[in-house]
Amino acid sequence: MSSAMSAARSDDVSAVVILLDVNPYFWGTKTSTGFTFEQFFQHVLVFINCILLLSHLNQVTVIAMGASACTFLYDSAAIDGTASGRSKRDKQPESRSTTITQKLQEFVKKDEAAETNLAPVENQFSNLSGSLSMALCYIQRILRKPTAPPQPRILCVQGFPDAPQQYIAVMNSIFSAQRCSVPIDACIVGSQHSAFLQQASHITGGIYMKPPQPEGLFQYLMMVFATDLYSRQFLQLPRSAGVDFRASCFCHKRTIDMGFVCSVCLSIFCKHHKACSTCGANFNVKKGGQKRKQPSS
Amino acid sequence: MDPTVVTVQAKYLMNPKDQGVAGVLMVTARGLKFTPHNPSVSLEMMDVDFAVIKSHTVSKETPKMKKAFMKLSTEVEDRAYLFEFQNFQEREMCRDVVANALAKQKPSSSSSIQPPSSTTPSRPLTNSVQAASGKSVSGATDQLDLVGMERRLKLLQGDSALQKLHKQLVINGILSEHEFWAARKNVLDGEKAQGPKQQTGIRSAMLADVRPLTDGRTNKVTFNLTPEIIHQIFAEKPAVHRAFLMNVPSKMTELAFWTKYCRAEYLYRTKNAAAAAAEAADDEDLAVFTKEDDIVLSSSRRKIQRVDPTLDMAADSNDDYLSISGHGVVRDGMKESMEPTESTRKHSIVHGINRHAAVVLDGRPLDTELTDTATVAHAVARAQQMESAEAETDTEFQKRRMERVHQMTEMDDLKGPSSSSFVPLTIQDPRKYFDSTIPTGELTKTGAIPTPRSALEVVHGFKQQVSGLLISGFKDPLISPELSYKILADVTQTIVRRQHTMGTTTADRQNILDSFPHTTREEVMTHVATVNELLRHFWASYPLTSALLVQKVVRLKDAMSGIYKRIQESKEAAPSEIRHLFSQLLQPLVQALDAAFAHYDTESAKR
Repeated sequence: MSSAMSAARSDDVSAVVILLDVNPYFWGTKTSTGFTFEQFFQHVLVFINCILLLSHLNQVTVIAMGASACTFLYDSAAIDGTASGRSKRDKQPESRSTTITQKLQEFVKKDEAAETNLAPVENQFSNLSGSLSMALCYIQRILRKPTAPPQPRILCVQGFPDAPQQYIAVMNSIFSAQRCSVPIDACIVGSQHSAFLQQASHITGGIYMKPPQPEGLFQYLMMVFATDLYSRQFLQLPRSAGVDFRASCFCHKRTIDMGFVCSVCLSIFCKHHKACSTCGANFNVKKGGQKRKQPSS
Repeated sequence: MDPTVVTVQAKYLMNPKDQGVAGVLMVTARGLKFTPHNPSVSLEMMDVDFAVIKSHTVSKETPKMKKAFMKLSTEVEDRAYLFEFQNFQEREMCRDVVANALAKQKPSSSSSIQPPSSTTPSRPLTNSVQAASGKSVSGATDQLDLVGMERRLKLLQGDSALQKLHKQLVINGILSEHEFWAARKNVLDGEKAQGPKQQTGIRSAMLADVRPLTDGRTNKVTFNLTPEIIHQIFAEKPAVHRAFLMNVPSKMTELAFWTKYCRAEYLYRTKNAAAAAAEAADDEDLAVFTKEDDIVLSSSRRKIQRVDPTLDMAADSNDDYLSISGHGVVRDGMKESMEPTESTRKHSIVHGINRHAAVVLDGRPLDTELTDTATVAHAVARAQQMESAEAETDTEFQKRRMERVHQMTEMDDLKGPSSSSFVPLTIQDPRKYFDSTIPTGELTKTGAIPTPRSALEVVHGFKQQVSGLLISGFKDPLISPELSYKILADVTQTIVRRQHTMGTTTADRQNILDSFPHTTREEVMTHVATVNELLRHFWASYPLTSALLVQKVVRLKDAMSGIYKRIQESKEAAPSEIRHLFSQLLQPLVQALDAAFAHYDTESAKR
């Protein structure tokens, strides 16, 4: 963390954007630990309430990651504005959890209605890139408000393994997050580690964790992920031992360890190509040929 | 009697292609003697003193090189002696004796050691060696002359770590001097190329110390002129220089010249314009000193002509305080007009400073010693000649001027579109790049990818769960206390364990060495340096081609075992809190040593 970043973090207010994995293909299957979606959702709801209890200036936003779409489920800043208006009309103000649950149910219904036929195997991944982009855009928007909350961060709770075809988009989002100094924390409730999220937390200075006991997810969330950025300077938090830096190739979207890199745009390929598919750079070097690419008319 | 006497069979060769005259070569501390076997050959017994020998070179010992040469060069007309030995061992022995003798006798010689001038004798040596020996002596010959020793000593003095390593390895006899420095050839060459580190610059006193000593009692004024000051005077005042060249020693002595000059300076300083004018009228030569420096004037006129015509000087003409007398301020309602006569100098301090700055920026043209005024004068004249010769010719200058004028008067609107020198990024297929949901190939296997049949069931199951959310409500308690306590303990354990192995924060991890006590740190550094050096020589000796290498390897292996034991001991002796980190740091060293030992064992088992 640069000193500039830590200088801004002088207060323990946090603005968290939680990305929830609600991929039906993951939660529908019975996991080995018997951790159902119901339990998971309950843990997360209580966690949201706790964050909002820690400080009255805290803000929470929840985005749901589906298999093909993402949506905003809840935004504490928006609700507060209209809460007073609504309570006059309703006898019983709706609880936060109810709101979120209802929204989630709508989302799932819409998601199902949109896909008339089931998605092929390749498309069953969670839409991490889309939700990350949504979160970052939202953060940029609230930072421009007059009452900007300090220190926004992103917490990503993911179950389904990585989608190699989302590599480019996810890396772009990670670099934008690094640019805006928004740490990305990652909590993996699935069975496999996620290389993307490891890289994300490593690059942005967040925390990556895969709880060995997912039934106690709430405990992990409160211990590790509820800490605000200011307190992280003097709290000892579990750091991951290493980072999986594997990338996906741009041509087949496969995870690779060693590959070819275009010297112009740094795209990664798994085998030798004659020309780069991203920028069009020609890799054939003729004998005595031109060293510099002429702009193609 | 000479204690070290080496007697070997050798052949004396006139040139490398020669068959050679066989004989016996005796090398003593005083000199060497060569006696041919066959006295009938024209060559008599040769007796060469070491005092005559300047340096010696040897041929490199490679598998290709069958002949062991040694060449001794003398100061006498580049006369060199070339000997061929029967094998390399004898050559080594002779070489050692010769080197010692040369080294011993060199401090007594009176040659001054200046790195730039002393490289010149060694360079023609290298050239002659290469020219004469051709293919027999390879380019990387070892010159153990005084210059080399000097450089090595300087290097050792400059770097204490290197000195320690040198002491440990070479003095203890593990490595020979030659091998140690062979690896550091590039460092030595770097030393050589540096030469004098800094040039002394021109003083910016601007002849302030030509201020005379005035004696209050007697009416005498003493000027003190050193050759440095004279050099500066000539550089800054070309008219004085010209006068000097013209008058001395033909018309007047140097003393007289400088007396006149100092007189003029003194009068100028005391601002005694009238007296100066009077004196100038009397003495022609004095007039030179009091008038303007016309050479400077002409050169400044030339420079003004070269000014960029596109510069707008009109705005500055009113700010020219120097030429307007009284600085433009009207006094007593009238403009003061003190017409300066031609004979007095109207240049002010500013002009003097500018002239001095121009001279300083030109650099110090002389490298020779400033001993005599005459030499100084001639040297400055030479430098000025060179300068004018280097100045660009008029035509080229005019061309550049026209180009600049064109550049300034161009209008951007009338220019056509310029072709950029770089290629802007164009992504040919943005969909392929950005769109992540349309893959084109196979996927990695994930844990649970259901078949299309069961996918339906999966989705149904999920939807049921979601719809049942509101109905079921929250579980109470959300999480059992035993489980949460267990998780708390586990996570704390993980944090503590990681802290123990990797350091508390990332900052600490990077400065592990600094967290050690000072002695331990030193130990670690010396161990690392020694082991690296030994391993380098060890691996360079393989494949073992000669007995010499075998001996060297044995020596190195013994030294390495010694170091190994020492490392183990220091690991035991380390204070307990850093023992783990300490042994972790030394682990790669130990592994490298183990690998070297294993290699040695396999190699010796093979032979």
